[in-house]
Amino acid sequence: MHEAPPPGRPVLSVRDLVVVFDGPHGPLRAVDGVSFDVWPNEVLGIVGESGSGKSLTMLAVMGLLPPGARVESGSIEFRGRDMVALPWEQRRQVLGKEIAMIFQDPMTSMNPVMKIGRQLAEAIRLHARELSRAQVQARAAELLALVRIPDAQRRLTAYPHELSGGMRQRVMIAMAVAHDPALLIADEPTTALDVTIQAQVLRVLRRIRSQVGASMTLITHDLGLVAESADRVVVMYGGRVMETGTVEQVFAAPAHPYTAGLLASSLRVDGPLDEAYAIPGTPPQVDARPAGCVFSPRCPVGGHRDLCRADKPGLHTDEAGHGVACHYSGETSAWVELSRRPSDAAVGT
Amino acid sequence: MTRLSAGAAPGSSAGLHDTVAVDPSPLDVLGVAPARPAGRRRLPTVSIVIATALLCSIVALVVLAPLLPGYDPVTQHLDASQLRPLSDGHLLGTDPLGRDELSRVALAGRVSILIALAVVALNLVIGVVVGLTAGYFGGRADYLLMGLADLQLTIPVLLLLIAVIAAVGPSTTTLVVVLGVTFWVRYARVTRVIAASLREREFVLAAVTQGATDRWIMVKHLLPTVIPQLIVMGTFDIGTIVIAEASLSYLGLGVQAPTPSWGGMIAEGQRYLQTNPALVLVPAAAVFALLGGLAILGQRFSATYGRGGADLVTGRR
Amino acid sequence: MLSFLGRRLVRAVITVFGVLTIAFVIVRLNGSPAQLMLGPDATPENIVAFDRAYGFDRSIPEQLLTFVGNGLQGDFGESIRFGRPSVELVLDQLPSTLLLAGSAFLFGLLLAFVLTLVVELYGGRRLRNAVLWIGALVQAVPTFLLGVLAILVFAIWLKLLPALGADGPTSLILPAVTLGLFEVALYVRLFAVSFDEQRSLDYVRTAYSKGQSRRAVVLHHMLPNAALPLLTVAGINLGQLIGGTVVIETVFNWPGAGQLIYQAVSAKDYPVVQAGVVVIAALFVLINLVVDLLYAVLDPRVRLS
Repeated sequence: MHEAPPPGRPVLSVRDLVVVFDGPHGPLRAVDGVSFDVWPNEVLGIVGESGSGKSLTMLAVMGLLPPGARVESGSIEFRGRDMVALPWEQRRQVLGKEIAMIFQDPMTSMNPVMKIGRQLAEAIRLHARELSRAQVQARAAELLALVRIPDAQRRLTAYPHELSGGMRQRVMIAMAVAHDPALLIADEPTTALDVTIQAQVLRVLRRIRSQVGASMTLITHDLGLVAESADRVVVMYGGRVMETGTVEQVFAAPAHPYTAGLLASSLRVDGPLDEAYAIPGTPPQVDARPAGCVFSPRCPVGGHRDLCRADKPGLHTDEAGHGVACHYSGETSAWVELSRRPSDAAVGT
Repeated sequence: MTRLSAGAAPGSSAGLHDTVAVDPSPLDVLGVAPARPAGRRRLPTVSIVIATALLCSIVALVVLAPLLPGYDPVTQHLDASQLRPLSDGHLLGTDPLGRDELSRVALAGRVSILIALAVVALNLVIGVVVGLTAGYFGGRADYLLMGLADLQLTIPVLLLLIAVIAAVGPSTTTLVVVLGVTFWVRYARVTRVIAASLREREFVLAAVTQGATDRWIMVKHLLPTVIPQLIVMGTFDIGTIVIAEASLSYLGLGVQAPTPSWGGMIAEGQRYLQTNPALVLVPAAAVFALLGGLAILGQRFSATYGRGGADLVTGRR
Repeated sequence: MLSFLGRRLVRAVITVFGVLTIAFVIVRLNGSPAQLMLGPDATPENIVAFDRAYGFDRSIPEQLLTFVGNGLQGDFGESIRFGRPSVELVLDQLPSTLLLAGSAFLFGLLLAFVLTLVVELYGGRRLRNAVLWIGALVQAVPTFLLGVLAILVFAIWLKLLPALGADGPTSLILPAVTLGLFEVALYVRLFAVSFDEQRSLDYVRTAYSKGQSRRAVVLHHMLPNAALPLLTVAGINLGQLIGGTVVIETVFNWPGAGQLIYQAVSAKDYPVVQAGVVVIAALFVLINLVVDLLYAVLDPRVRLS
């Protein structure tokens, strides 16, 4: 499936989304004009460092922005519905049924004083009022079996803290897929787990997604995860989309210096340690973003040029669907070549 | 080339929802988030103005009343007892023994505030010493001291205060000492938490590696960090202490006659409640002004101080 | 769970011994218990006789042991004023105090509970702030003053309710509501803090992400989590309330244990003071144990650990 966007209408279409929250000196743009599509049955990886706005973007889709944050402009269209203007009473008919979300920390994301069975039953019954108590119970047990939790009946009467982290996240996945949603949003679903469990949980998530036939956005900072799980990828930085395309396009030939830097710093684990590349500097705070291209202060390619400092580059997408927001994207490949030469590897470290 | 556009790019679909009327996130139904951008809220609010006015009036009463020509809280004029407020020469009237009410309320306020300050200071010192010791040394000292602090929560404090004061003999000194050794627990808790967290911080570690002694570290490094926070706590605690003092004085176990106290005046006034409620209402107004002013400031402070923000910025923690 | 309750039990025992010791010390604070109880007119012969009669001539550790031993059996000696066992006197007055403190507690807790839910479910920022502001102001007024003003307004001016004493159920209203108002204010503010803590927690967002209604999230998810931490505070507070009714009992001349102890203090009837302090402290310890037990039953994290 690793090719240009499939035909048909996208499940989710985000255009020019701006999310602001109130700072001490007026509103701050945490998400600053983000656009992307999620197509049927695809996995879209959204990659970025913390603070890049990737989670806020998807919380805006859910309509569950934290207090103080709000959508200022832009549109979010899910299966033909305008999610921005949708009142809560109608939105909640969609949440948990057509869009479901899996959160980062399964410990804090579950109600600590409610039994697993009740939390699962709640997810089931909310969009299937006609089910009897027994039917709900049966469905709950069935869902637990689906995420490969053994001894399902006993687990239903357990409290969250009695389960291991991996088990808890499986329960979260079970809740999310209770109604075969069209879109699954997974926000760093394995980050809070032990490394040894991450692969298992990810396998469960991938298998279930393809069984259900849902599209999925996988929010992560882990490029490796995207490479093995996603069809397409959106790279975010400082609240903006830097690059987008299929995994092959972006990973094989990164067109944005930021993507190239990320790849250079993460994909060389097999190389000698002193050759490891690190993007110089740190991401800017939301209230201290530069005027032009957000990446310009750290950019090894165009950071020093006036154009980059003055003008925010828009996202330009070619016929193959590979988009990049950079004034000098043509020079990225030359920089990549240069930085691969051992003699120049010390750049920025 | 398709131009998907970003931000301020012209000709894009950005205009579609320029002013979006959105249902608030259900997470924010109570409006925990500031309604207005914080930058605009610089003017003093009505509540601050009221609180300041109340507190200023009390300070004026306490400081300026003794300068007035008719000031005399002591001398009895049995021929002029229970004059109503606004009488000649007695703005707030006189008490059953013919003493000037304004003078008495002013002196009572002065005594009350001084007692509260002394008690808070004593609380602060004990709390800091206990908290620093417990927090900095940890282990057994911590267990013992905090166990002692916990114990105080599980015994009827007021009853014991009454019994102890009566046994020792009620006086202003007794009151200050007894209250002073009773209400330090909160200060100790706060100090302990700060001290325990600071112990791990670099500048304390650096001091240790340079051979600083424990006492030196506590005095030189921990104290300056702890004190400002405790001063704020202490300011708002003045109200608590004034309440305690007034209650004990009402029972006759606090400030002793002939020195006037708000609690004592109210207790005496209660006997004439039917015929002359002014005897209660005058000191009551003073109590309201001081405690109300402090409470408004405290509420305002906790409303501003307690509002989270930073952790919500990124959306994820 | 057993270790949790075990630790609490140990603490309860220590508290009882602590209070017994304090009661023992109180009488000896200014040197001679005989001087304290007999007053300044006592002759040296009186004092010697008194010391012998009550065992004050023995060594302090010996006295303490005897006192604690007798105290544990509920024996604090006879009241000097009434010549009856002082514990009996206290226990006679205790129900009246419990009635007052209990009604104030229930009134406060229930009203605060209702107010909090109304604010959470139907109110906005404005109603919430109003409730919190009123709460802060009520808490800032000493209860005795509130009581005196209540007498002035409702008994003297409006002539609606009896002012003093305990004749019939109507006389409970003023003291209980006065005491209860402070409780309402306390619990409304505690509830608000507790709910605020819950509001930003992940599990609330998860519940919404399932499509759950605001009402159900507040009632089924947030309420149990927000109410649990209040349990401990409520226990401590109920204890302090029972020990603290003395002031309001004095204001309304309510014949309770607080009044009894207060009058015993004035009359230097120390056996009654000691018995009163220890009995109320024991009640306090009992309440806290019940709260701990409740906590262990209600919170699965404690129950199963």
